Amino acid sequence: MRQRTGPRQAFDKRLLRLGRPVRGFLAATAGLGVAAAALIVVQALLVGRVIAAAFDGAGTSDVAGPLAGLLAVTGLRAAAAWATEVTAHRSADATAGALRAALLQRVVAGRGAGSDPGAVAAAAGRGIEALHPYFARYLPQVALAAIVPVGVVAVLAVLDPWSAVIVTATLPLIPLFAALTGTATRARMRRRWQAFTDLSSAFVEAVRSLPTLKVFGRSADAVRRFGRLAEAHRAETMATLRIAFLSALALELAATISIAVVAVAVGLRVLGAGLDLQAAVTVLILAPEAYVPLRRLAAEFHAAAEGVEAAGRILDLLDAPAPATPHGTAAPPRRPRLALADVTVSYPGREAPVLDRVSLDVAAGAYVAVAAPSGAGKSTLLGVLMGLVPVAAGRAEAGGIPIADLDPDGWLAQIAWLPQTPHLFAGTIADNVRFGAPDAGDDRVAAALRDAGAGFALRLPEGPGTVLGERGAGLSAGQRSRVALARALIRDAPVLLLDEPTAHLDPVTEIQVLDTLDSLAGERTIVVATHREAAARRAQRVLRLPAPEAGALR
Amino acid sequence: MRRLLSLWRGDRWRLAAAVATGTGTVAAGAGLLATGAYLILRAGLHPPILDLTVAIVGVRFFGIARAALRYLERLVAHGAALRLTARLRTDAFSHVERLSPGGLETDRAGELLAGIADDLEDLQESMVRSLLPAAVTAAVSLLAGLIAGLMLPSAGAVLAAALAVTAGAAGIVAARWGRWAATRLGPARAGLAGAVVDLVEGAAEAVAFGRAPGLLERAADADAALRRLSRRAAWASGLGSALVALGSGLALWLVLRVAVAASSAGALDPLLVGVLALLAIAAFEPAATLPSGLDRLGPGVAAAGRLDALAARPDPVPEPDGRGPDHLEPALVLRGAWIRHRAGADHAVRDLDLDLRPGRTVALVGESGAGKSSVAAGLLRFRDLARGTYTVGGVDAGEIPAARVRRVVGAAAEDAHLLAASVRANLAIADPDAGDDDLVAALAEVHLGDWLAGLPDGLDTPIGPGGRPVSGGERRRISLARALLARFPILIADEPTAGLDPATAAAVVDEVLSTGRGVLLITHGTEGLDRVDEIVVLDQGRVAERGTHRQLLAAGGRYARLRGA
Repeated sequence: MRQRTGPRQAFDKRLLRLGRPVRGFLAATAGLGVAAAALIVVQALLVGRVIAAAFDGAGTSDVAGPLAGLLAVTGLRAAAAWATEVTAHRSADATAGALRAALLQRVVAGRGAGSDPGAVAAAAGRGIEALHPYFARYLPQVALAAIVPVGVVAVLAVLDPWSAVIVTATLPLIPLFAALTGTATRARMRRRWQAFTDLSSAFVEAVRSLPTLKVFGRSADAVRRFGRLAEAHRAETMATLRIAFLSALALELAATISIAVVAVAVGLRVLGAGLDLQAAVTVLILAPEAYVPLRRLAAEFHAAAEGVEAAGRILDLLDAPAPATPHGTAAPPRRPRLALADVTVSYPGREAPVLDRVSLDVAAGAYVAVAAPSGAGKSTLLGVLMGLVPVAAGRAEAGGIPIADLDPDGWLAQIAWLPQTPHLFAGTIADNVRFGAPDAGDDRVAAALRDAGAGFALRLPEGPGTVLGERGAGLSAGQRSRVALARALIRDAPVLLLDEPTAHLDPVTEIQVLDTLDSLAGERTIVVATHREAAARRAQRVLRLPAPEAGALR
Repeated sequence: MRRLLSLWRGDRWRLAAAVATGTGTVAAGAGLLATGAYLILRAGLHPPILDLTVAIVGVRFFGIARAALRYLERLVAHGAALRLTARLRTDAFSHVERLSPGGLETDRAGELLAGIADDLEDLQESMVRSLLPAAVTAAVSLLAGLIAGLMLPSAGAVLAAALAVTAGAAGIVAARWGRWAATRLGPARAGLAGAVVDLVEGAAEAVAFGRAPGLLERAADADAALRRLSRRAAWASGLGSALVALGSGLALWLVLRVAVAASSAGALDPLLVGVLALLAIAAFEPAATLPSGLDRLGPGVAAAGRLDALAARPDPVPEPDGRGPDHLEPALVLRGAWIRHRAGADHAVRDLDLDLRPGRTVALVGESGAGKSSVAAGLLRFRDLARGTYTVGGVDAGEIPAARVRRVVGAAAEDAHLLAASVRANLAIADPDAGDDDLVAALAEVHLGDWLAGLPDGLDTPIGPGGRPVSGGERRRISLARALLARFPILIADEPTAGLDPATAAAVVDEVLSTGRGVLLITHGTEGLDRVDEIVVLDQGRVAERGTHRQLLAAGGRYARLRGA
């Protein structure tokens, strides 16, 4: 919970916790920075020598030594440049991968509850992508900016102390200007991130709403609205850049004017014979090199600001307190009796409890329906039985053991669940059915589909091998729900919890599904949440939850 | 490259301005160093100080000019690129609008979205970091070669050639690897995005089915695949950087060699050796940013290609040239209509006849997947007929803009979308001028009066994504209320009663059937079927039987079996 709202540093120390990829990278980068600085100095000394010698009338043979040295330096500089790029990209990838893995672990630990899926998806995708340039380009440049100027100024001090003084006096102006504009732009950078997030979610939302808007002849409005949003995003970004680039201007001014001052001062001292020509030329070549890394650093402004911002967001998500998850250890009983006694469940922010003193007793192998109108808490009741919803008062037990005390994974392994709005995963229909039983053969998959009233899948041209779109796109709501039912039926679990298994079905298919449930009763313990009479009638016993009072369920 | 340039149609001068300011910046930098060298070396001859005045003024002028030009260059370049992406973003959305929903079904919406967002970022980056620096480098190599050539022709030739060869080699490396990376990195990125979406949105089921570790592994594999590719890309950009370092070092070496040789042979003023050397150093400044920039070129070109492909997709339903007739009689007639699931797919509806006009009510029943929703898509002109005819007021639907057809026939769709907005805003898309009384009345008609009364902020309560949760039954009824408000002469009600208890379902269907409009009731339920003028029973896309409730019961066919069950 550190630094949740504090100012962001150029390097968030929490990144160090990611361990080796980050530390190794920082060390390698610093080493390469020192090598680069040394090579710059040597090159300037050699070029200065050649120019001064030529001025004194030397021929090519007289400067053969320095020219050969120059070739060697060129080779080494090329090697250093290559090594810098490769290490930078590698560690950028390694860090991004480590962060993404941590974030997804976190989502799974939270069972998808408590976090805004859009924000997490944005952070895990584009957010982590933003870290790449930060690691690959910005941080190596930070190392160069820290090392090269020091080396250059040290050599200048030997060659011509006056120039060293001028450069030393102007160099600090650059980070100072950068810091000033950085402070001014930080809030704007945040807004820009927000604008980008808004724009992305507006795009998703707009795409999803298009069919509906088209029915009402309003899709052109959506295009106009989106156009305005895109334009607002552009204007906001440009306003940010205008200020951000001021630091580049200040920086450039400080650098070029001090080079001009050095050139004129050195020239005048050569005129007065206060400085020898070779040193003067070397100073002129070397002085700009002190500013180059800082200048490039400013050019990586986007990478820096977006990377720091993205890293902060991801680390904040990781540092946020985890939602309470069950952590019992008791071994779950096989084929247990399920019992709820006066169970009350409330959600934060709601006055009336969702479940109010509900009792239910389900013997092993029994077939019970929970019938109630919409909003009466049927899904919550199933959540309590699964141990995913904490109970405020009363007892929820499986085989006499409080469900909260059971080892959560072991308990869930005994349950096959059909959620009210199931999520179908990327892959084929068969993949989705096998989600419930990974080792099931084609015959079992086909049987489960038939039992679930999803025979349509077998009649498709590619059968259960048909690839689904995102979130099961390509299937109707009813078809999705039946594929998800097949997924639950195929699972070899003694407890079957079904949330509205027949909501989207036509009467014929509904009967087929209910027949399947009849045949499973006795073998498995079945709890069906439904508002359909036909479904409730078939169960051995029906628990009726009262309709929520108007206003009370809000 | 050509593809990227073609995107600038109409904005060419912005591009030219960006290149000009960029070149000016480099030229000012070179001017600063070259005049500085001239000043120092001239001073080495110990002339009277007045001889140095021009050089001193020149040094200062170039110093200030460079800073000013640099600021301008960045503003102009980023401004132009941002303007371009804003335009392309809106264009992309309007194409999605044009294609939705009939032309998009084969796409995964999230991938499409992520693809477009990434493509735009890639394009912007490729403009600022590749296209412009490449253009500036080209301009600089000409300019530097010319100026050096004035002092010593061989030095000018060497410098221009070295710049061109270096930039060309770096460009080839970057383009080759960039193209490779774009074709491989794009799918790898999309795969990772898909794995992330599944994990984030399906977390509850993944945990309940004990499959979270497998999905995490899939995400990790996708991540590893992406990293392997990106590591190879790193080799390429490393190679690019090395090439530029090599090129600039060799150019300096060559210039020094020819200049020293010329000056010792008396063909060049010895003073100009230093001037040429510093010119060579400064001229390579833009080339230094090329390797890190040019690897954005491939992704940019690929992105431009994908956006072009989106724009080139044909309309799902061909639009006519004209407006169609002035007046449209609200009478829909299908004759022998065949409708596909989507382009290229199997027929969902075969040989269907259907008549809809105000006052006439028709129910479409049949098992899930019998083709009922495809009939709705066909009537709404979201999909074209594969065979048969569709006329609106006697005019072929192909001669009427689809948006006009949709003013005659509207729908409360099975999967209707609620906007992330207030209840009021959700209803107002049907009729922006409706007063609160109208909205309340519409909700009461679908028996949501109590629901509305229970909302904390009434009509201002936010619903839809991020808003107050609504049940499936509530969502369908809100969508139905919206369709009723729009006063379509003919209304398609697709499964309005799923998720409702029998009493409410019967009451809602009653309301829909008694509005006096033409109604196509698509249903799994039994409510209201005894009241409609005609029941059409679909079986795997074909009409199994049709007639009134009484006739069909008497016939003892499929419908009778459905009802008997």
